[in-house]
Amino acid sequence: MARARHSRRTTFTVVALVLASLTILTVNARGGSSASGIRGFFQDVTHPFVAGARTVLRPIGNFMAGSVNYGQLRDENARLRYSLGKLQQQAAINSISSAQLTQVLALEHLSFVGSTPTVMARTIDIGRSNFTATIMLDKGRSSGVLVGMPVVGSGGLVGSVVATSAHSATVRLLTDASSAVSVAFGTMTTDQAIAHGEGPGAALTLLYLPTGTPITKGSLLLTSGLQGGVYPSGIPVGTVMSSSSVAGAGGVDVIVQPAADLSNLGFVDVLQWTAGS
Amino acid sequence: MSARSLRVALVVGSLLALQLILLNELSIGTVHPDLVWTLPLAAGLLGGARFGALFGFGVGLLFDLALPTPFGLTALVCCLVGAVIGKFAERGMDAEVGPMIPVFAALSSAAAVLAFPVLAIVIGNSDLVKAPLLAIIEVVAFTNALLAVPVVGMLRWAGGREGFGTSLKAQPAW
Repeated sequence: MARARHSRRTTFTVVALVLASLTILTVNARGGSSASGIRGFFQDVTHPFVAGARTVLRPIGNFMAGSVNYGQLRDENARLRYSLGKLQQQAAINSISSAQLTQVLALEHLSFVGSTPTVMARTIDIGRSNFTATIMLDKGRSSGVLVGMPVVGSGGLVGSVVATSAHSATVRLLTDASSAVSVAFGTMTTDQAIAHGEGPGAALTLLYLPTGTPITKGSLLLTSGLQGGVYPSGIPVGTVMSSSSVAGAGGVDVIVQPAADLSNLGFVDVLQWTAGS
Repeated sequence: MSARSLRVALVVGSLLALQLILLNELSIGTVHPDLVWTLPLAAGLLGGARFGALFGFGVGLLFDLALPTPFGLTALVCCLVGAVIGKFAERGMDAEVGPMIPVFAALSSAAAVLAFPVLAIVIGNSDLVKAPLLAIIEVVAFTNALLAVPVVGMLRWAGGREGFGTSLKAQPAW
């Protein structure tokens, strides 16, 4: 009798908790802002402790790595990669003739590219979840970082800001499975497609391009500036690694290597650009 | 707040800090250890299905605050892991299970990693399936097999002499 009562009580509790979880998930998925607000508060409260603890523990890790100056060298290395990335980004843009670029920009009335104000931010956390490709930055709303702003670094587009708190921001990387970027390519960058993320660490893909699309290995893809203005145009997204015909579909699938070095994101720039700005 | 509640909060807070400060930094490829799945396992083993579900739900919500995944998903999976493991424990596996904790941890972690994207599909998010599931299972199952024994020990310490008393069985013997 007691066992049956205990079993019923347990079943009731588990069902109630599952329903509560599904309710929370549904409310959040429908755009409820309470969860993001609580998360933001949690990040602001825990960030100083986590950052402080990592600073304290870092020398131990560095010692174990066998190098007394490893931490300083790593920071310097991250800064140098950041500078190199900026140069690579500029070189990639220059590889398309400036005349073409001017033409494209003029066509799309995107003359603001190159003059967009930026906020330099340090990456304080990479990939908090194994299921998503995200990074966390040490700058938030108090520094002018807002949801939707593009993030660039180490050669090209990194992703966009998807959540902010007062002093931190979460960036969804291009490789995240929910990421999709409208890209332009071809000699006049007039051909367009959508570059999809395929999960953490995986390359991007352009799916079901029409046969005969002028895209070859090594082609540079830039943001098109379309897609409802999610990204400004002209930012390098990636280069084509390979393409293959889709059996029976008469199309081509393309694998794209991100232009930015997403495995080394010590510092990034947040473009203070939002859709419609 | 009782001394037991304080000890439980201390244990959960310490493990959350361990995850955020250390384990998130120890990536193998793009995958890092994820000890959250060991907590409902420990709760289920020590307190039975009801306590495992309640504890898993609470701990999952706490970890959800730190994660970019849909809010509530970790709570849902942890709740189910705690309930299932607790059910096994109530059927008499708890007293003799000591040496088998790493095996249970590996199996329940693998199941949790698989359940996570599958349950996400239920709420309309099919993107998580694209994560490198095999690599995640390998890393998380292996590391949780190592971490589970100390986590169970910490939670048993937090329970004190009175334990978590919702299981029909007596206190675990290991």
